Amino acid sequence: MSTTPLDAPPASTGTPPRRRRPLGPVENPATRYTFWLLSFAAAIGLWQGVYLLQDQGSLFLAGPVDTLRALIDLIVTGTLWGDLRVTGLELVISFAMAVTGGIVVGILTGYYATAGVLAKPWIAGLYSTPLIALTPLFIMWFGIGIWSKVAVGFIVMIFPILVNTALGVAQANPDHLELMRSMSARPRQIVFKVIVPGAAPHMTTGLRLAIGRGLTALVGAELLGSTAGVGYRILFAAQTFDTATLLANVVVLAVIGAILMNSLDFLDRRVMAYRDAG
Amino acid sequence: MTTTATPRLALRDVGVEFPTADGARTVLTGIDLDVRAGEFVCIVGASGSGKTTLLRSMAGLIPALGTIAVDGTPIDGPSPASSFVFQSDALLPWRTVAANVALGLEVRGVGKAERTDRVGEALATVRLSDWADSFPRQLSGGMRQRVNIARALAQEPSILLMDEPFAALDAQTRELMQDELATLSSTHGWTVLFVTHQIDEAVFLGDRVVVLGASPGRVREIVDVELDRPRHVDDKRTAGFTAQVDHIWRLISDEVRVGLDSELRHR
Repeated sequence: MSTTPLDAPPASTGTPPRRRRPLGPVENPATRYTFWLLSFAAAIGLWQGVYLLQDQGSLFLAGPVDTLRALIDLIVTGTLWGDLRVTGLELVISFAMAVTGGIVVGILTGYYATAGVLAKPWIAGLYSTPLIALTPLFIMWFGIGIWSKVAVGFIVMIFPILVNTALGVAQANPDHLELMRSMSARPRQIVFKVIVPGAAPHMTTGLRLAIGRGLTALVGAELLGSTAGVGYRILFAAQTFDTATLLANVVVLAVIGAILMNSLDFLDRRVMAYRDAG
Repeated sequence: MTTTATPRLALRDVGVEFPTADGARTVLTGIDLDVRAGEFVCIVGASGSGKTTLLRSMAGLIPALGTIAVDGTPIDGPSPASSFVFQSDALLPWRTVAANVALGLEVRGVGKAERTDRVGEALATVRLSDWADSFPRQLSGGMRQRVNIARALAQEPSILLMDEPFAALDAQTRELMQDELATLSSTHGWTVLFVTHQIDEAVFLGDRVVVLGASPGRVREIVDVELDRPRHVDDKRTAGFTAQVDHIWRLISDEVRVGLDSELRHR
């Protein structure tokens, strides 16, 4: 008798066709990069056009060339690295704190009905509140250095992580929970073998939202009062009418944002790897 | 009673009550049943007769009145002596087939080497050895139920509790799975309690068929199946088989009709 069960799927290779949205010509990576390059070129062209049309600096708009020169200047003088170290440190510390707190509280509020009920009005009230408004208070409490920014980053990032983790935990498959119960699993085993892996896709969604909001809030807080960091450099440039340096720092922030989002895409693909196995 | 050996599973005056807004509702009452080691017992009944509830109480998943004893020891909660095969395969999509089968052993703290052995053995029994590293979504419904069964087998339970495991499969696959389960259980001497709403499935698989009556659920009759083993799909076409199916159908058909009628009235 053959070792393959009679009820094997029709595709003998065991790879059911992947169902996904047709992408058209952009499916080809080379085509995709060309598309991106063209759109960048168009944007820079538009930028250069507005720059040339303005009435001799009346818009305080630096052109792409000046901005690039300012960026190079930031790199060679080392200013950029000093600013990135400060903003990066703020981001790493506050993100780590928000991830830890958000996942722990998210699991508790998603798993224990009482904790969920208790947390609900707080989450509803604070989830969409622009908590960056607390920055002046944090500056009074923690000073003008990095710790007031860490506090802002933490308070802004914890909510999306917490809410999405709780959502994923609450949506745990009841069949999986009953299965674990039938195996006399302890609560810790239920949490780590079923609930957390099941909620992982929701968690990465929370991380993605958090990191976007977090970077925004940190730079915003730096603009409100700081002695170092990318936001500080932008504020300083604005006060000296140095729009080229200002825009160069915005470009830096755009690049950081893109890198962070890409790392999260990578994490997402790792977490969901089982979906694409084949 | 003249039994000399302790039955593998013994139910004495077992009942189940669910709390409702207007007091407790009795779902099952006065169930007495002895199951010998190596026996295959099927449970059938109209919808609402509490057949799944009875199985779940045997698994210790819901509290029951009376006593349920495995090898003479009363149970009071889920016990490693029995393994439950759920109707929905409940496979964890992020685990491979082998890791899904290993789940119960991990929970119980079985060491890695022994786990690998027992998972390999269970997968070989259900003929899925070649699929150990696949993910559930790469498998057909029938194969997923094989994994579900292997997961229960790996735990080496003294009793397999199966809750309509083939209900969601297409008719042809179901026939083949029944055939294979009949062969496996008699070769390995498994003790099985198998809930189904399909009377022919119950007669084909069971040594005995427990017929439950509804509202509240109680044992209407326990039918001894007069079919030799090994059994074959063709046995379903014999007159003796049909007669037994008809007999059980007559026992529950009134309740099935009453159930349907009341359903229509309420909507």
